[in-house]
Amino acid sequence: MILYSSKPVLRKGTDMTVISHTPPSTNGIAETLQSFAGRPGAGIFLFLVVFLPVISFFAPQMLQEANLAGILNQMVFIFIPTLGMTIVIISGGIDLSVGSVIGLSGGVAASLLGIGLPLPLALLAGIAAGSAIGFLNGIVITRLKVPDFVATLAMMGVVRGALYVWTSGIPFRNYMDPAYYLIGGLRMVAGKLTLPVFVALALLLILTFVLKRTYIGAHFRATGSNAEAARLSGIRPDRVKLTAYIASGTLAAITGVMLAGRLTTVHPAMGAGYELETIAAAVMGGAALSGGRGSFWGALVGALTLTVIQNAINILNIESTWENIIIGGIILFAVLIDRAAMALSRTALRSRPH
Amino acid sequence: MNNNTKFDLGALLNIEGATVFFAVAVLILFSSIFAPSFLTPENISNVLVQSVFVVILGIGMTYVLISGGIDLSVGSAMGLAAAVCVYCINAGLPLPLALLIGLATGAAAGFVNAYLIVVLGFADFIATLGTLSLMRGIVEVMTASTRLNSKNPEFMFLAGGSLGGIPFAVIVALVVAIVAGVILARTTMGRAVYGVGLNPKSSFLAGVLVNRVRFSVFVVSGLCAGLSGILLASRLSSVHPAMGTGYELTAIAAAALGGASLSGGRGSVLGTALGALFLAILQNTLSLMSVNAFWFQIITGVIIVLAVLMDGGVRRFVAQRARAA
Amino acid sequence: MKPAQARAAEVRPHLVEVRNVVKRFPGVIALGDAVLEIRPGEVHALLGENGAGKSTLIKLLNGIYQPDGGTIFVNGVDQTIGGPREAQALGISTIYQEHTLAADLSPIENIFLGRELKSASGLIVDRAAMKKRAETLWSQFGGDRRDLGRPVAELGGLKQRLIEIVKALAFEASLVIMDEPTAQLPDGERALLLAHIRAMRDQGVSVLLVTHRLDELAGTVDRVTVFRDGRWVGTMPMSETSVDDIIHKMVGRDVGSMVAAAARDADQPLDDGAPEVLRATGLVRRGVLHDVSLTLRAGEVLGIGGLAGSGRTEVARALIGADPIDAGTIWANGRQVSPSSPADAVKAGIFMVPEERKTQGIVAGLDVSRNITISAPNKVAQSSFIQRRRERQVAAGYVKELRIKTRSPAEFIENLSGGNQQKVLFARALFSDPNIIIVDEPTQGIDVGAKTEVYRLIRDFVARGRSVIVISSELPELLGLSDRVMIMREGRKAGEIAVPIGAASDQAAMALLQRQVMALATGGKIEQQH
Repeated sequence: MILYSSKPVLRKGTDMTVISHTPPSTNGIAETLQSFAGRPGAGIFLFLVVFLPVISFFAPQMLQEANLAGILNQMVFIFIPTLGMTIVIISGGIDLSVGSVIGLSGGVAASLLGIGLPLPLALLAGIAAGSAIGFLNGIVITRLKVPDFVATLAMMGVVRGALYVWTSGIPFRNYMDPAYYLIGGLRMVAGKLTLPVFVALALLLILTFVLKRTYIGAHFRATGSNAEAARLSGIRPDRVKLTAYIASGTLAAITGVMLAGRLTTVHPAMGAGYELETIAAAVMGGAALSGGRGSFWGALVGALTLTVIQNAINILNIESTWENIIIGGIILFAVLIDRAAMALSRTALRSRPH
Repeated sequence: MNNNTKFDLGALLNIEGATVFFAVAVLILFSSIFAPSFLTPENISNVLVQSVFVVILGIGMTYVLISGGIDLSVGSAMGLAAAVCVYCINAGLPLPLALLIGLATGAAAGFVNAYLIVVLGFADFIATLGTLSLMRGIVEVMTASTRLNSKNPEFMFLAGGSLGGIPFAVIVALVVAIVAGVILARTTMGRAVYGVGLNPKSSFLAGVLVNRVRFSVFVVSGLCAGLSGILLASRLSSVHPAMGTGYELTAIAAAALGGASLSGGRGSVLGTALGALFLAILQNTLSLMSVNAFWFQIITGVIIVLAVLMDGGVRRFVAQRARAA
Repeated sequence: MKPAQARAAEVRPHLVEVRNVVKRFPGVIALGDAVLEIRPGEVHALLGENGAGKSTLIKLLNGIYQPDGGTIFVNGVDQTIGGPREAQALGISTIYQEHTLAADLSPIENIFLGRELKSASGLIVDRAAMKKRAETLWSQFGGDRRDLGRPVAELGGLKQRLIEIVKALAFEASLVIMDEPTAQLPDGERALLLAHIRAMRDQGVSVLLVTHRLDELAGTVDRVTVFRDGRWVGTMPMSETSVDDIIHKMVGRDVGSMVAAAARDADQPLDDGAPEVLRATGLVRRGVLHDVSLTLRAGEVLGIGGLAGSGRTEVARALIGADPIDAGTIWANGRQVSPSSPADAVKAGIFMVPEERKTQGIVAGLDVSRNITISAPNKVAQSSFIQRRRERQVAAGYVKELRIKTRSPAEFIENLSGGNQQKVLFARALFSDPNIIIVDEPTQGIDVGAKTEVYRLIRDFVARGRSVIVISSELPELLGLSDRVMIMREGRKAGEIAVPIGAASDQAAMALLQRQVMALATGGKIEQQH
């Protein structure tokens, strides 16, 4: 829409049913390009496409099969909570408690496993703990009307504190079950890929199906885009938001129980800082913090980009302490891109007659 | 209708810091009963010094909250200002200059936040979340190889020494609180901060320089974080990579407890200072009662939510009273 | 539906009938004894000034409000409408003035939002069926199929309106209520939308049209119902009435005389030699204002008229630096100024009392005195320290002078009535000591008594040799107050009309002036009908 003149073309005198805009058909390629550029996460995808070859020039081992598989294996631990964060952001909220949820759910699974509960039960209990925290977030936000980032920030502190109180600061150890090595991704299942990769893939497909094929996706986006319109259409925005926070808590918890398997110890600080990385990944993937926009494939691109950068930091022997700086920079950069895209589409709208 | 003769709860609740004052009083009562060593002069002085960091940090946060914003980066700004200051001392710079550079670092952090939010139009909590991570990273890089230590006695005096029996840090906090409180409550600048938080559109059209106000409050917040960080470094005589982590939560809790509204327009320096005092006493009491220190984090989180809820409740109550009258 | 329709045939009831409905809010009767009858297959216009009770009535028909008395019949059956969804189930769909589409969703998703067609399993959305149904309806409006897959935000104003209509029609609406559907549409698109509304009627759908644009009535509307101050004034076929008659019914006689009283006295004519205090030339704000120029003399009241969205307010905002301008120059009091914010305008002696008092005017949470001094706090401060006693004295002075009804200057402003809030905003303007005040919709939503006082304040201000710019949708008010009216249309200055002294008390002259203003504001269509 930006590329061609958007002046109304009125075909007068024919019939009343002609509507104004007549897009020219000559700009096929430009329009395709533009519709791609308008897709959430396209910019960062291009960045990834350019960045990978450049960085691999300096670090050839980057593109080796083992390293690529390693990137994937590592990436899923960011990607899965990013799925949840994307859902929350699409519906117009934010969840700062995911890092703490990852820690707590891992702790629940590890401790129950440690006292002899069967693995599936321990995992389920860990995941249920995450869902419950998500539920609590949702209730505090929708019922008690506490602003979302305040509520989840407080929850972040409460859950982390609870984990420390519970463990007295001593990590959980010696809970590993043979099957847990598999679930945690310490054993390969297909080639050099691990089980969490397939869990993530399954989640991606299921959630994409739910978002695209059932009415739920439209309800999430409508709630984030224009809650009033959603309400007038008979949707209950509060219920949608509650669902989003439960989903976020659950997905963070799935990550947490797998991470407990991968690390073989659960330190009470486990998962700290994940809220930042998942927000960064979601925003890089084109989720708009104002709500209404975002995609799971974008989340994938975002999580992948973060992991590739971390991997590059590793391989290039940059001090790992730089990671925080880089992630903070990336968040701000991604938001800047988001802002620019919004400003661009706004000027496009403004140049159009109202 | 007869408001003069009847006990007016609404008016009472509206007095700045009244609720939190009662809370502090009740807590002191509780602490002196259940933790007998609480009321010793040594412990009181200890609590006061311990509260200084959050008092100063919370004052900056109060400015930001009243203007309708939020600053999540204060904990990292504390760490960064402290690291830069100690680095300068160790590099042999004269102490006053090092302190000045440390304060300037805090102000610069606030400036960056302000620029991102006011000029580039970032959502405040995202911008400050980004700088939180960014500045924490810089602190980590600066402290990666060696812990930044300083045994400079003059530097350590800041948080360790006392003047006429009063800890020097407490004097600093008092001065900051009085200056910041007077500016907020009595000057045209303070008035503008409230106006912007209550209704930025109306204030703008009435001639308030809204952007300048929003810019200033983040710089003030950064400056306060810088001062708080330098004092904390002086008390610890070192800067560790995680220094200041989580302080944003405590500062928000102190301000919310003191009656600052997270949606802007309400709050006071006195309230926040009392809120910070409450949290310091609570933390002290918990440790005197040998309760796991991490309970403090949980309680802080719960307090934030409760304070937000109570703020809404009190406001509804006061509005109802006004309507009934 | 079936039994109701059968009964409908017997007693020939109206599609929707509102009988003696009353709606009260704390301190106000929004609707008293409201009557409205809508026949099947008619376009019915609901008319009235701001505050006449139109939106309250719509919300009652939607179930957003519940009536405090009276009954609403739908197809002859007494109905309690519990909410928008229940209204839709009864065949009543509403298109609100604020766009109620989710901008990030496609038209198809918007049309079926909350009512998605599901496949046999009940789990999966039947996208093909929804697409087909939407395309069928959309093609009836001549829309391009490709529009349906893109986010609504990318569509223009007319298409968004049409999507909302399709959304209403997709669920078998028998009555579509449209609140100001043509606001902010350019003329060409407006005509198209009206044509679509006629086509809907021809297919048997009733339309309740709420509009301020009386030039839209002829040719489209079958019957009109007029409300004034929450009360029903009359219902008549369009063929048996005229725009003048309607205006008369909408405004009532008393307002005319009230405005006449506010008009310039014949023995105090505007001094022809009065110096120019404001001149703006070639103001441009891309996409909003196009080459707008104006002048204002000392002691003069300049009116700015035009339809909502025509750029009236935008001119004022450009003058005070609230919006940046892309081109143009402004001289105030002989000096060229380029205000970059309202603060600069205050310094240059220009102050605006904005429209939408609640969101743009008052600062709720501050008391009356602080609301007054916010425009120039330095005047009650000594080296930046505000002197509360002086501030309270100043405020008390204004409270007395402007007869602001408040318990004390320390009362929170949100506890005052609308008219008194408006007076506080005037006090705020006066406190900054400007020689030009711009008032935007100064009497929006305030009662008759307060209106007279606001007029008096404007009069007093210009009597002291200062100047006022009035922006108003109410033509009698605009013409009564102004010495000269400039009319805006689609961001351009459409023309200027001088108001002769004494015209406000001459009904025939006022009617002629109103027609002239409407003609300029709408592009000359009214003239043809008369």
